[in-house]
Order: sequence, then C-alpha cells, then structure tokens
Amino acid sequence: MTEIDEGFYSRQLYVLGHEAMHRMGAADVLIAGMRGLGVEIAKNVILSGVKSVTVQDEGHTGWTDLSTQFFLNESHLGQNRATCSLPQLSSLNSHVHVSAHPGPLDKDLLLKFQVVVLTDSSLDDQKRFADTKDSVGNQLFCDFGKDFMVLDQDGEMPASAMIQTIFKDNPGVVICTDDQKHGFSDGSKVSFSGVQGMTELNTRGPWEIKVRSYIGDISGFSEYERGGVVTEVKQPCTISFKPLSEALLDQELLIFNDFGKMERHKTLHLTFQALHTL
Amino acid sequence: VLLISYREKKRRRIEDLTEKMAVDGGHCDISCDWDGRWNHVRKFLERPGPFTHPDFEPSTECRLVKYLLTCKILVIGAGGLGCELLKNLALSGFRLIHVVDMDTIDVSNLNRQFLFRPKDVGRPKAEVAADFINGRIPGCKVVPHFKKIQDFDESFYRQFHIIVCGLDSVIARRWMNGMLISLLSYEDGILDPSSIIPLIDGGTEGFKGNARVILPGMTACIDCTLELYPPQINFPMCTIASMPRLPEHCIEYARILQWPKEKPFGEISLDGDNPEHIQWVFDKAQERAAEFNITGVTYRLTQGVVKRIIPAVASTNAVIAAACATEVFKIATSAYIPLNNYLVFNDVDGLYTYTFEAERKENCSACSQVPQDLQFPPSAKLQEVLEYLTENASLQMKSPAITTTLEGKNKTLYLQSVKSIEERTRPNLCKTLKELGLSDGQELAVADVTTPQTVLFKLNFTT
Ligand SMILES: [Zn+2]
Repeated sequence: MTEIDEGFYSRQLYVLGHEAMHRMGAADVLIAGMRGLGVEIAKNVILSGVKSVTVQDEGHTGWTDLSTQFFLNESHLGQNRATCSLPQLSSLNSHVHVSAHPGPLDKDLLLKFQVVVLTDSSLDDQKRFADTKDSVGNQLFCDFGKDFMVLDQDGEMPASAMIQTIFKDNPGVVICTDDQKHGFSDGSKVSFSGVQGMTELNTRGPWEIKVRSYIGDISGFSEYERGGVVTEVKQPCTISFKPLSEALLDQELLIFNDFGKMERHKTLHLTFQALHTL
Repeated sequence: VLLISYREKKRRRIEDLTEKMAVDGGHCDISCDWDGRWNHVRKFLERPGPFTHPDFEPSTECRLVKYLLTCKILVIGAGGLGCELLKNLALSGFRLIHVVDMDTIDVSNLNRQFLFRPKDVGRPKAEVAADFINGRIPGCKVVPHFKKIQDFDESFYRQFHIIVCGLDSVIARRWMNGMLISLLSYEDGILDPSSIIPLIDGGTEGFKGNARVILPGMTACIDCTLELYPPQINFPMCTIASMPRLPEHCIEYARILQWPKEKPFGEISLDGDNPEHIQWVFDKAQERAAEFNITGVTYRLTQGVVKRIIPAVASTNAVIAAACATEVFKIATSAYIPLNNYLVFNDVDGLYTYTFEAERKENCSACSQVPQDLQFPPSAKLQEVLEYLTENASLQMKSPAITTTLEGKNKTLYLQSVKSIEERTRPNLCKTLKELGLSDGQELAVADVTTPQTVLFKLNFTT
C-alpha cells in the first residue's frame, strides 16, 4: 500500500479519511469520450487520487471541441482528442497514472477497470457495455454489480456508552449509565472494552444485542466488577444493483429525494431514453 | 391563492429587473473567433424554448453573444471555486473578467485548484489563474488583482455588471454583500434598479455546497440568512476565555491562550503539521472540555481547528461553480429566469439538490434600511452589549468597535483592533451604560470587519 501524500490531499483526506483514500488509490478508472463532459470528469477523478485513469476517444479534435473542452487548443485540430488531452490531464496529479486509449471501446478493454464512465455513447452501447461490466456510471446511472459491499452504511461515528453493570446470565444483560439514548438498536453488533472483572467480554465478540441490552450467553464468565465501554461494531452489508438494461424498464427504481419535484424524475427518465432514439 | 399571487408578483419583479440589467452591447474584438466558436452558446440565445425568460427575444444576429463578450464580470477568490468559475465563464463567452485573491498557492491547493501546478507554489493565485486562462482561451482577458477585497473602494466595484463570489470566509462574503448594498441608490425610498449589481455566491464544504443569487436590496442578502451558516472558526474571544460551549472553543483556548503562555516546546510557534504539537493542544483542550462538561474534543477535530482545515473535494467545487456560472450566463443574457434564489447541494448520500426562496429579513442589519435597536437596561454593562453584538445569531460581529456622540464629541467606547486604544477603552467594558453617560435613544455607531459600512444602533433603555 502506498503512502498517501498528506500535503497534497490534506483537504480531501479530512472529508474521506485514510481508509477510503486507500481504497480509491487502488482503483483503475476508464473514462470514455474526451469532449467537454468527459474531460471534466477525468479532471476531477484525477485530482481525487485514484490509481490510474485511462481516457478513451476515437475522435479527432474539431473546431467545435475548442469551445467547451478546456484542455484542447488550436494546435490539436485533426488529432486524437484523448491523446491531445493527455499532457494537461497528467500534469494535474503526479500520483495518478494517466494514459490515453485512442482505439475503440470493447469488452476486453472494459474488463481491465474497476470503474467505467461513458460520456459519449449511444444507448445501445451503454446497454451492451453495462451487461458486460460490474461498474458503469453514466447519466448518473450507477451499477456497482450484484454484490457491492458497503462497509459503513451511514458514515456516523459508532455509537458507544459507558457500562453501569452487567448481569451474568444467559442471555447477559448490560445496563448502561446515564439516561441519554445509547443509540443502539435491535440486531446492532457491539464490542466491549475496559471491562474489569468480566474481562472475557473485552477480547471476544462482536456481540449481537437486543435493545434492553441482552447479549449472548455469558453465564460462564467471571463476575463483573466495574468499568468498561460498549461500542457499536459496524456491520458490512451487501447491496445488489440492477444492470442498466433492467433498470431502464423499472419505474420503481427511480427513487427521488427531492419532494418538491415529485413527477419530474419519471419525465426525465423517459426524456433521456427518447433523446437516444433521435 | 394569496401566497401564489404574491410569489408570482415577486417573480415578475425579478424578471423585470433582470431584463433591465441586460448589459448594453458595445464594441468587442471578435477577430480571434473561428467559425462556429459560439455555436454552443448560440443554441441558447437564438431560439425560444419553454424555459426561456417570458420577455426573451431570440436573436440570430449574434447580438446576444456580443452581450456576453462585453459583460464585465468580477470573480472574488481564485481558489477551488474560483478556478472552476474562471474556466466556465471564459468558455461561456465572457471576456472581461477581473479576479481578486489575496492568497498565494499552497501545496494543499493542488488537488482541486486545477489551474495550479507544483511549480506555481508560492505565487499569487490570481496571477497564475489569469495567466492560465488567458493562455488557453483566445481573446479572453482575465485581469488579476493580488489584493484583499477591502483594498478596493466603491468606484472599483461599481464598474462590474455581475459579481461572483467563490470564498471560504463568511466575513469576506458579508463584507462583499455590504459593499454591494452600499452601492444601491434610492429615490424617494424607491430602489433604482440600475444601481443593482447581482451577486452570485457559491460555497462548499466537503460534499456539501450551495449556490445563490442575490439581487441586493431586492432579494435575501447574506446577512438576511446569517443563521444558515455554520458557526465560524473565529469565535469571540470572550467565549473562548470565559464561557466555552463547543469543543472548538476548548481547542481555541489551548491554541490561543495556553500555548503562548506555557510555551511547551520553548519559543516556537504552534505547527499544525507537528503531531507532538497537536497532541499537546489536544490534551489541554480535553482538560478544559472536562472542566466545562463539553464533549466532542477529538484529535482529528483538534487538527482541523488548528490547521484551519476546510474539508474540500474537487468535484463539489466543480458542481457549485457550474451552477454559479450558469446563473451569471442567465442574468447576463436575460435569456432565462435566474435561480430563485438558494440552491442546496449534497452528495454525501446519493445526490440531493433542493432549491428554495430565502426570504428577506425585515430588519436585516445590512440591507433593510430599518434602524437597528438595542434593548438594554441602564444597569447593563458595556461588556453585555459587546457580547450581544458578537453572539446574536443575526449579527455575529467579530470585533465590533463602538463609538457614540457625547456632549457633541465623538467618543470611542470600545475598540479591539488597535492595541493602545483597546487598553485605554477596556475599563469601559465593566461600566454600566448609565455610568458611561449613555441615555435612552442614544445612537451607537458600530464598525466591524463584517461590513464596509458603520451600522447604526439605537439604544433603547428597558426597565
Ligand atoms: Zn439583508
């Protein structure tokens, strides 16, 4: 695992934390289409610090590209867009390996990447590639595959509480101090630390709890004396994503989170599909 | 129904106003324009559509494109938002752009301020950004100012048609807001629309951001919505020293007061990159937090407060800058109705946007023209007035200087920013308003870094 350049990434590290940064630093990303939109995505992904970014485009720079593609200029006219964008893109972040792929998009190429972003493809291509691939993002459609592991579901600090006493029983009962809400719920998993007397708790677990704080069988443990903290253990969960071809037919999937625009997401969904038929 | 008609009226007013604000077409050099250069912009300006401004008349004679080319824009800040804004504005066709930034480039800027490279570290942001844009966009002329916004006066700001802010400081935003309000002219109490300079303000923190359109004197200003801002890093000294409530207060206490006094590592100043230093501040802050029953002091928070880290990622800046540049485009061309008036963006969890109309505050201390009242009993001490000015959610002043007129003479009651005057006026803080000779209805003039103008308060004695 390579060291994170803390000077370069300090502001972002403060948002994401080390673990997420390390994960990102292991990802190979393909961005297809190097027009105005593609180059913006490439710029932001490169700045964020993935392992590598490959920019793909078969097309040549035309005059109209110069109006919206910030990294192309007059001297690039007639030459491949991806190749010409490369020097500017790679100078953004020396920690990221940036390369250009002037050839066509195909299955074999896609399989080399953890994340693929299509910006300039027909709907047919989108569907075709989406079926071969686990992770495709386009028009903000995200398909992270059938088994996408989420390590931390809410990003909150794990809940924890001070222990008042523990009854040696099956199931064991943990009473927490102070009357404030401890923030655990049925099925939460917890670990213990600093417990005196019943020290077995500190080393085993995680324990699944029921609220009113029952834990598993601890009747054989030592007597509880005092102290200790109980802390939530975050449980990974797996989310299954539908591939694009299925999702396109699914009305329910369009979960909206802006209640001011109840109907718009459906309209948009259809509009984008209609655009592809033009 | 009433509400709808009120809203509709307000919308019409904004439409009328933005129509009038359309910039006069002037002369511009289009010699560097290749065939089809502005096609992407002309698609918006040369045909009508369901979302265009009701009074919008498409024009196929490049008239509207010329509006863009002659519109004078000021960008405040050449940081994360500023770099994106400059690129977006220049690609949209704006050519006369000034940029003000007082900072030089730091290594930590490079992972989102994409106009800067490692070789530029130490150089002024405004200059490097301007050079980059001018080199990439033929015909675009960005004029850099390596200065503070406070270094310029009204005559400088008055020359611009639209001002866009990409700042990370609420104080600077409020100052800019106050400046544009001071440029407004009223005739018989009616606002002269030609004196309005629209302010587009963007802000980001981590995955969250906001973009807003302010028509000074017409729509909610920065100070109208001051409660929306998170508590500032610069806390009032009296809070840090005597009544901490937040974990940040404890950290600031250790950093500002304990470090210089206890000199734990000798005569060296606190270095945010030195883990031993941070650990020392963290330990001290924890002690103080325990004393005042405050929770939440962590090592990471300590580091964040000491290093003044504002969390930032490139993509959030790109989104917010794009929204702001779009608003500039809409207002400059009058082709579309501007955002009304506050957009919230958050992609921590999914992707969330929400737009609402921030309301003007009837007695806003910056834009309302309503005299501000201070209600205190004659037995209140000046210290209490000072605390009110700094802690009241809708005032949030930083180091207010209070003056008044007593027996025909100007008298400074308290002023913090000049050391000798602070020492001389400090005893006043413990005196009651009566002892200071103030009377019911007395006018107090308050100056502060949050506004270029002095705010007048009327002191009303309560019993
Ligand atoms: Zn206001």
